[in-house]
Amino acid sequence: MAELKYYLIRRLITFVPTILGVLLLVFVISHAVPADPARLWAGGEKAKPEVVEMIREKYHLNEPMHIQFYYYIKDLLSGNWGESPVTKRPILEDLADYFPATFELAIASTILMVIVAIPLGIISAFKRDTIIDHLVRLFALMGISVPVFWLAIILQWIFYYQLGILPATGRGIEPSVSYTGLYLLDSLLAGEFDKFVTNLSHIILPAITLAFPGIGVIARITRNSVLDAMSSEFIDFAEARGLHGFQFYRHVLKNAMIPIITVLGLQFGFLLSGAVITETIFAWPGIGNYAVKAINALDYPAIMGTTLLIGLVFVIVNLVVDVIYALIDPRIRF
Amino acid sequence: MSDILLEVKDLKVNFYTYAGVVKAVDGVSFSVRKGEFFSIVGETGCGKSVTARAITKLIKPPGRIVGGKVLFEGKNLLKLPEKELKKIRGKEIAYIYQDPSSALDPLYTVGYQIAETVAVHNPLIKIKNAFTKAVEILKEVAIPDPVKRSTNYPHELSGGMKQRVVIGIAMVNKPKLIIADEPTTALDVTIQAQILDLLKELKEKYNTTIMMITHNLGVVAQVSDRVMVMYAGKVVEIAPVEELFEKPLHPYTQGLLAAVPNPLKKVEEIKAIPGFVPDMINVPKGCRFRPRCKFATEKCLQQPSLIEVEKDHWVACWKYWKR
Ligand SMILES: Nc1ncnc2c1ncn2[C@@H]1O[C@H](COP(=O)(O)OP(=O)(O)O)[C@@H](O)[C@H]1O
Ligand SMILES: [Mg+2]
Repeated sequence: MAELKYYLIRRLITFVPTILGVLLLVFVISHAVPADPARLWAGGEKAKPEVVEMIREKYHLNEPMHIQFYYYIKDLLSGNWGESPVTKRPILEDLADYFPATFELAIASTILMVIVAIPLGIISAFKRDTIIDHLVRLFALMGISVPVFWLAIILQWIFYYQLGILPATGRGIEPSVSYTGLYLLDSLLAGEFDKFVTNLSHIILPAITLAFPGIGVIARITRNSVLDAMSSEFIDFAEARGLHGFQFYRHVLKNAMIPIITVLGLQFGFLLSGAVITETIFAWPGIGNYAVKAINALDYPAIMGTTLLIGLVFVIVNLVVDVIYALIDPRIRF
Repeated sequence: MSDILLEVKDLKVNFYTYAGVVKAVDGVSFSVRKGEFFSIVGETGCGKSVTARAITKLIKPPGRIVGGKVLFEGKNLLKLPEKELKKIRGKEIAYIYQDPSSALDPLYTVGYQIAETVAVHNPLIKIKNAFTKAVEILKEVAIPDPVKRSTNYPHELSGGMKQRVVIGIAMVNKPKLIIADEPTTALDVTIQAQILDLLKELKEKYNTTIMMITHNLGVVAQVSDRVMVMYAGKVVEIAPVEELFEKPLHPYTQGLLAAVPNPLKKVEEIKAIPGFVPDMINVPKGCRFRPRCKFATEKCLQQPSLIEVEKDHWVACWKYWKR
């Protein structure tokens, strides 16, 4: 266990340069690449000269690059991520409004993926080459191939338009308290069960839409890694030792886990960066939606803020995945 | 006979591959006596491991046991339901596998893997409480600092240590029969001798029976009481160890021994015998050794059965048939 501690410390230390790399990259894109960042941030061609000048002062754009970088980091750390010329609000506040919606949707669809895809993959592996296996694989293939926009519209058509049992758009009703920004969790914490039910009904269709391709990928990976584990010598030996039931399958499943976690982590990262199409079709007020609006309005600070947030999210998800690896596999702890 | 622990009768195992049916084990019969050290030798691919695994029905598709009986203390294991077999594997009949680096699950400590082997066969013992047992057995297989070692993962131990752990796992439930499938093949020569000594020592101490598979005649000479020689899925000779080394009867056994002037040398392939081990899909008609045998006659187009030429010395060769 001592090794695990050292591994975590080492992993956290490498985390710092990665974060710095992300910051540097976003800094370069936002400060160095544009010919006149101040004008861009002020809203482009139609920006008033005095506003441009004010921004130049405010963001130290007349200073040399390394000084600018210093102020950039300092501002980011002190919570000043810039201000949107469109919404006239601090970017961080905007992100704080939109990100929880994406986070909530990402969690919901990841839960869906896990509870659907992993059992399917396991069944498929244990019933290898039977009709069940073929059906699961066909389903997985469908998941991977179906276009998201088509699936979204079909789901809306069936469950909203035809059956009228689920809402087509929106996030539901905001709970009266906002501890986490996650509507489902907050409405439970506030004891508002009617709102919880409404919000749940709103998240179902977008969550299914987002989860569907992931279900295909993860069911496949699960099937293959379970088969891989099953064919290893130590599973043979486990059987020869007389292990059975849970004690036997835990060896198979734990060994099959590493590739599954990898893909799941990647999927979760993508979901957190905002599913533009899904969020647009379902009018889900998430980060993808925000990014599209920002791009359409040429809201440069908002675009850069979103980019930075997504970069950080990826790095953090990666860190979490690595920590889970180390918890599962002692060989990685070195 | 009551001194017989395991009796294998006419065992047949086929593998159904795309290239055709592989008769990996084709009518193998032998018996193992209580308390003896029984060895099976033969070149790689002759069906030793398949025989060993078939004893407790550990054959997976595309393989299938297509005939025969395995009588263990009089019960036919091949007729037992899977549930009963699970109680026998690792408890009454324990295995030691060839490569200790792949026999242990890399994600669990060695202590855990010993403990769960105890717990699974003793419903009254929880895995947590079986750890003391694990430490005891690690001490027994001469692993230094067993308390600390029990918390190690397999990758933290050397190959020899891992094989000691595997032996510990096999011994921990005091089985009646241990089937060791090439227990020293994957190890360094210096370690091999230690592992063999350990096996012998534990066998005496617990009065168990060992059936060991190897393709190393030196190993055979060192530890066995009786030896069975296999060739291409068939038994060609069974004899007490001194008898086999002094007076090998089957032309294959003779070639095998001639090929190894120094029995401590490892043999992968028998170079002194011309020809190759037959392709197991299109086996030669009759005696499978016929194409390589300098004594082959017309008669050898029919399969000879095992006969007892001298007391306890069995051979499957027409040379020794007196009409
Ligand atoms: N999984 C398998 N698929 C196909 N053929 C197999 C399989 N396992 C074993 N065999 C066949 O059985 C024969 C005997 O194998 P084995 O018992 O492992 O040999 P060894 O005597 O070296 O232990 C091999 O020659 C091989 O053709
Ligand atoms: Mg073998």
